[in-house]
Amino acid sequence: MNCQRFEEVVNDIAREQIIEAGAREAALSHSDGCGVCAVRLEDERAMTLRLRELAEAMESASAPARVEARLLAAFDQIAPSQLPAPRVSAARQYQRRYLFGAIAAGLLIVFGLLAMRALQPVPVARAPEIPPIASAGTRAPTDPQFLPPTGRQRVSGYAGSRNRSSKPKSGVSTKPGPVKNGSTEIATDFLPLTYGAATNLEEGGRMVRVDLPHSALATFGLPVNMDRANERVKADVLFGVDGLAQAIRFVR
Amino acid sequence: MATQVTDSELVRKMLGGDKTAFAELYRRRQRDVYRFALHMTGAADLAEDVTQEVFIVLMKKGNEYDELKGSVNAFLLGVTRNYVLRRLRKERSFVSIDDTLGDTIAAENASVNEALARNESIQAMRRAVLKLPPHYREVVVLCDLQELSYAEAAAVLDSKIGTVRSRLHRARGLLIERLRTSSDETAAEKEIESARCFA
Repeated sequence: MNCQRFEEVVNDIAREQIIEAGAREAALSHSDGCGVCAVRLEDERAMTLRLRELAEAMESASAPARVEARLLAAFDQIAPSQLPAPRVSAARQYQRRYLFGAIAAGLLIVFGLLAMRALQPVPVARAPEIPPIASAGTRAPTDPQFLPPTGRQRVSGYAGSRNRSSKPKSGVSTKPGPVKNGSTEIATDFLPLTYGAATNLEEGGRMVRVDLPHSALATFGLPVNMDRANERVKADVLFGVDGLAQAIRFVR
Repeated sequence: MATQVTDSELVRKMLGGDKTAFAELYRRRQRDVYRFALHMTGAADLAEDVTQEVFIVLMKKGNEYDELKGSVNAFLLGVTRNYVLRRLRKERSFVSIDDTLGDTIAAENASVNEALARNESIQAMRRAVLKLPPHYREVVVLCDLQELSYAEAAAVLDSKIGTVRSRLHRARGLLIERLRTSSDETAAEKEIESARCFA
């Protein structure tokens, strides 16, 4: 330690403040070898003693009793309503600010969304409703529109017009799961052929009746009766507007 | 065991109109306020006025106290400091040191000579402190005479701890110089007087 560094800590040593032990020892050993710093430390210690004497001498000093009496009288004169309201601490003020900010932001978002909705053009024609496609392990509800054509109509087009068959015909089940169409056909759920099939069909699509080899059932994990392996099986394939097959169901 | 009500709670109660809370707070803190004012001004009557003003401020503006910023004591000493500095600017001269200090010292069980010497030393110290510029005087009073930590003193003075440390260092250096000078002058005066006696 040099004299300059000693000067930085001499006050704290003389005043018996808590300082780093290493710094204290270094300063004391420096003052042992440096006459000027030894005198400096002695002066500071003497100053501390004298200031403590003064502090002790003044320890009993206090305001006269009349001050208290005057203040209590003044307190009585100030009506409780004139006393200032307790101040909310800074932390609570910040909390309140954040709360108001959050509420304001929430209101802005709500109004913004409402305004956006109001400005959006009303769609003239609704896209045709496509039955939901079953995901793995789920069953898609069957819409009567997608029920396969009956009788001699082997292949039918689907234009998505609602007024064509908006109401289910009597005797047609609208419950999800395998559907018995009239009294002739039973269909499985639609099985997705691509990821996001339901999304791809939101804009519309077309359903086509096809004949497939019986082994096609195995492709979709359905049981295959080997006695009828040579027979064909009917299926309805749903094509999206892009022309890609999106889902399939088998019909018996 | 009953726990003591904190100063902050007393302030809250006082603001709610609780007179006993105010009285309790006054009894707890008036000494620190009064002594700070007395050390800074050197005049008992002025210290008394300042103490009264400080507690009236507490009554009227106690809601400005924020416990996150510091203790009630620091708040009160901060107000005291402002009043003292204002009064110091108004009334430039403060010399009165004639309070009950001498009686306190004389009452101790020391010999009369020792008591007188000690009294003289303390008065000299007191004068030296009073001669310091206010910004040095206040750090000596707070840190050395009222034994506040650097952080507490910084809160009272609304300044940085480093500033308090450096001011205290400088203030103590000034005190050492002045006391050495005054003791040299006293010794020289005594030497002259004794020379006259023998002349």
